[in-house]
Amino acid sequence: MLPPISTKQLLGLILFFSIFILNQTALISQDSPRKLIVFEMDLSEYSKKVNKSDWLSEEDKRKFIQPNALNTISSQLVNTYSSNPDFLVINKGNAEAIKKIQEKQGIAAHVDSNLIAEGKAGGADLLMYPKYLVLDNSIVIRVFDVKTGLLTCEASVPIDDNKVNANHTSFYTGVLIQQLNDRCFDVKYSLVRATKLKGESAKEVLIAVGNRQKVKRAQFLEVYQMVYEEVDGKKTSRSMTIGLIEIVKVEDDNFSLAEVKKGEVAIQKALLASTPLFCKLNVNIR
Amino acid sequence: MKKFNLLIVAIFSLLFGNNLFAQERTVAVVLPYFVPQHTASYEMPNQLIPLLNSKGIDHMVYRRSNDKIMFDSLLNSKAEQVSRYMMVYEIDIIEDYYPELEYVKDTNGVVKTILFRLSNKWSYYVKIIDLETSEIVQVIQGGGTLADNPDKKIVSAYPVDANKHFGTDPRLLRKNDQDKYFKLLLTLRNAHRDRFTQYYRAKVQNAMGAISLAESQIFNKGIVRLEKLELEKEKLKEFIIPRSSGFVATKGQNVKVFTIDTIGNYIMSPGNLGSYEIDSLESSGWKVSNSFMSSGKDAAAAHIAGKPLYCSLNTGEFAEKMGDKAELIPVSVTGLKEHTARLIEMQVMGYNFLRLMDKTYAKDVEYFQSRYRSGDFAGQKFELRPNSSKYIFIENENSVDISDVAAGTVLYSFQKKKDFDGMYDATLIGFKQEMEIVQEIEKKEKTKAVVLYSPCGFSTLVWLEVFKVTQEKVGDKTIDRLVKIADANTSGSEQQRKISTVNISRGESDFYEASKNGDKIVFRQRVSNAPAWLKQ
Repeated sequence: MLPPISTKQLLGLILFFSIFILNQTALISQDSPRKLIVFEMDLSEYSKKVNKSDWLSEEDKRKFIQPNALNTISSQLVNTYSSNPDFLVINKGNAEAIKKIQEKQGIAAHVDSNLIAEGKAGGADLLMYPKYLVLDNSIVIRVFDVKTGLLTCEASVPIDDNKVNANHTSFYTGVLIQQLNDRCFDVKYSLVRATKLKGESAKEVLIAVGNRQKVKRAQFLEVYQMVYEEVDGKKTSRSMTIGLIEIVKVEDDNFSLAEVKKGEVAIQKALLASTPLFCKLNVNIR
Repeated sequence: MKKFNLLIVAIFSLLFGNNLFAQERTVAVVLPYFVPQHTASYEMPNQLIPLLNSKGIDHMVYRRSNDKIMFDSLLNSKAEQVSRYMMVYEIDIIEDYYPELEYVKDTNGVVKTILFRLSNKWSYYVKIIDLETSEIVQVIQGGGTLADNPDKKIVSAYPVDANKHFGTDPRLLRKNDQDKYFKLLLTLRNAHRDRFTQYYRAKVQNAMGAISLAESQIFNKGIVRLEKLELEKEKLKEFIIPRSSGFVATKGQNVKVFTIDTIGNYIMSPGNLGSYEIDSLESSGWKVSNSFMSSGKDAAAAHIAGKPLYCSLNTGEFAEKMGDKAELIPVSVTGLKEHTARLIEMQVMGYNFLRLMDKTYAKDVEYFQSRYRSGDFAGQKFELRPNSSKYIFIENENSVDISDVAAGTVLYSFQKKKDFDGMYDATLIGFKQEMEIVQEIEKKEKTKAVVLYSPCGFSTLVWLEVFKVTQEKVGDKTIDRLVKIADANTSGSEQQRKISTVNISRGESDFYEASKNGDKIVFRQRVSNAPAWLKQ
């Protein structure tokens, strides 16, 4: 686990990576995959919180602090984004192992293959830093732009103290990835089409969300469409919920089938009108 | 005709490959350390090295001393020479020098017998590394249990007349006078010591056989075509594997005889025609005779029918894909613990398209590489051909990443599960490999089974899921969608092959339909073993 780092230290790291990458990287086109460095989950505040809990025995404290399910969030982020062709992911947790083998393989081989890799991959762009925040009792993932050193966006999910096992963590991760995709990478989860119909009601739908987004069977998602509101003379987008669906089968990395629980008619009507529909995990139903 | 030519080319390349191996047949054996008290394990090298040498391979024996590797002047009959390979092995015969007394009770809880019981389990681990390239050419671990053989007095339980020896109930004595109890226990153990050692030696024999076989396999990666066969009353009772074939074995090792079929771009043995045993190494080659398991009739019948016969060591499950051999991708493994790294390595070792580089014994390999390039070995062939790993399997606390070494980026990542389930698919997907259908076995518009080629082999594959690939338009992108059409399972008996017959256990009609429609069909490992519907 990473030791706690201050904002100053983090900016230092960003600067370090900027220099490291700028030193090594040739100019790349806008379409190149973005290089994303995922840090290990920072649970330092969580450990402190558990240690302060008088009501926990020493053994229980150890149990809570030992590598628990929350630790898997970082590796799940790596898992998700490394299988996305839009990203080249560097797992910060692997840094030591990779450095060792690079050193062992010698500078010559390293430089040659790096040139090839750089040519293909281009420069790193983003840092992804997952951390538990005691103040909000939440997991937050901050994404920084390496070149500017600025916070690009963040995702967060509140956690329940008694719900930190693998299943709950999988849910938290699903919510976090959804927020990251939406807020940082402008990726929305599309509702593709109805797979079962009854009259004018959509009973089952195909959604473009799968293993890669860490969704599971029996999870609920809200179905929404984007509408635009006039606010102070400006057009502002608003997501308007029109239904609720429950995943009945995660088919593969990219798709799932979901049963429509609410809004069968509205969903089918929107689909017939070719209105783009999207869905997002409902944080209130776990 | 074309198929026949391909077959000749493929077989020629396999035989030729063996001949190349035959040029450099010296193995440096780095012995594990045992205390003299563990007599059977301690004295094992005295038997193992002659056994290994009997295959016609030279072995240079080295010991570790204060973290350094030393040439063992006692165990080597020849002067030190350059070795192409380094073998490290471990054995665990659970040689307990201080076995405790076991009190066997009847159903009423009354002690019936007091005895020493020795563990009947044994295990081994062998890794063989090509010293010129640092490539792992063999890594295997296994083990077994030694069955009692009362005729030869090889038994795991030794009843003792404890009350007489201790003068009372030994449990009582242990409670009241520990010093006296342990002194008497030691004399009792010492009285049985020779029989204990004899038992442990029997386990060592099993472990030695396994180590020898593991080593033989690195020299016998191909198959040998049998020539100049002489039948005896329409039975193939014996034959010679010529020295020129490069074949390596020891007396008593098992040899299987088979024919070869071609299906499209694949060659495979349809099944064993007989089980044979190595008799001896003659001037012309290895003399092989049929074992009691085999009459030699089937092999003879195939020979009379004009089919060429082939043989290989231990297994007749030969299968290969012909055609362009893509360059193997060099990879290495980093585990959180030694045993987990071993588990990953052993899986990777079975993957056809990867070349596994060693990291664990890097210091030892460097020692030999540096030594063989010194003036002491001038004139002996040793060509250092370092291979850099292009990718590395990194085990983390919760996941395993396959990372690009040069770029540091993750090629593919999977969440860690029991026995590294998930690695099979992760490797296939990460390296853009797919299983290929060799042949479909259909009946009444149903696909009952498929002969399947997998670049990752079938050693860890039992249950599979079958999908047809369709495409969905999502926004302005077209994305592949995998729709499950069937469950499948291997027979489990052809695990060493790269080609296996896979039964379609559910969805035979959907499979048939998808196949006839020309849909792209892909296979994935089902990591949760048997499908739920089968468990119900």
